[in-house]
Amino acid sequence: MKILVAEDDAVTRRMLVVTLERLGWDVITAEDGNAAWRVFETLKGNDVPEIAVLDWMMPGIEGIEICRRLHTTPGFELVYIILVTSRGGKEDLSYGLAAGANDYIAKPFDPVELEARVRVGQRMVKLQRSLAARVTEVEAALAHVQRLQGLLPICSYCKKVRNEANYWEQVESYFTTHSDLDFTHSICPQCTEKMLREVDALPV
Amino acid sequence: MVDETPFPPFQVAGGLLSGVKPGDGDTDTLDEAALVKVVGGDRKLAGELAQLFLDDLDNRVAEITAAVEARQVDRLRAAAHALRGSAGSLRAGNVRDASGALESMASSGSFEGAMHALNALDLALTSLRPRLAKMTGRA
Repeated sequence: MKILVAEDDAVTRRMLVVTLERLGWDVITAEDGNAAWRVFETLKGNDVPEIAVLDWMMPGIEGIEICRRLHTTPGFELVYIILVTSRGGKEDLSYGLAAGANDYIAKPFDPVELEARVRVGQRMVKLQRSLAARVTEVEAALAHVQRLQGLLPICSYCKKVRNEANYWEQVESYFTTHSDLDFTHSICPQCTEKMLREVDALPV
Repeated sequence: MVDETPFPPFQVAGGLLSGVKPGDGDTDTLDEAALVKVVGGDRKLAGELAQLFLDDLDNRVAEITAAVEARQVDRLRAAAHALRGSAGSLRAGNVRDASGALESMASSGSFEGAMHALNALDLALTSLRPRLAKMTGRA
């Protein structure tokens, strides 16, 4: 799993990176908010980090603004965001979470807590991937069902069709019920000719 | 949004200026044991972190001093916040608290007592620098 660490303080950044790398994760670093956003834009559609550990206050784009951008930019909405902050007030945290952060960790961070929170993020990422795969499967199944519905039994003689309730009904009645179609009734040239012949053949 | 103000400036400054002379075991200046524990017992990494802190320190202090002299609230808040975070990560409690006091002042928009807080920061750094230099093996 790939994790982006965006933190302007070299000490904290190094500690975050070492902690995460020791746990086996692939870590990319950014020294400020602008660099962090460039990482996402560069990797868009390719290999976007699944988790972002973002300092709240850093030069350039602040962590909170990156949260907003990620959650409103197609392709980045599912990035799991952990804000790193020394702003511990409840209103601040509420503000951060409302901006799109999934979780937060206080500075100075505890490595055990960081690991636990990243593992929660990892589970969420797996769950989202699993859900996305299921949605794809369901969409494929629905397309298949629609094709089956397209096999409509029709009587070769009277041209009635058999509906889902196994009743035979007029084709125009069926399509009026199952679609947005409305029928206007008319007579085609062949039928007009046939009808005229039948009228002519009637005894005077 | 409400910024929390956890560091009453005069309390921190007064504590640091009370004449206590910290020694190597002074955990308020630097809780080295806590730092080493946080990095999984890796003393080499702890030394590397000390060096990273020292590398940025002069610029950070200069920025804080300049912000106080120019009475620029946002500049002081950002500079003091950065030093507070870094010192906190390094488990350098006195520097963290002294820079936190300056950040709180900036958040409240007041520069009253700022020079006193700057002195407190300077004193805390005077104790911290040799401890960090020792960790880097340059003492």
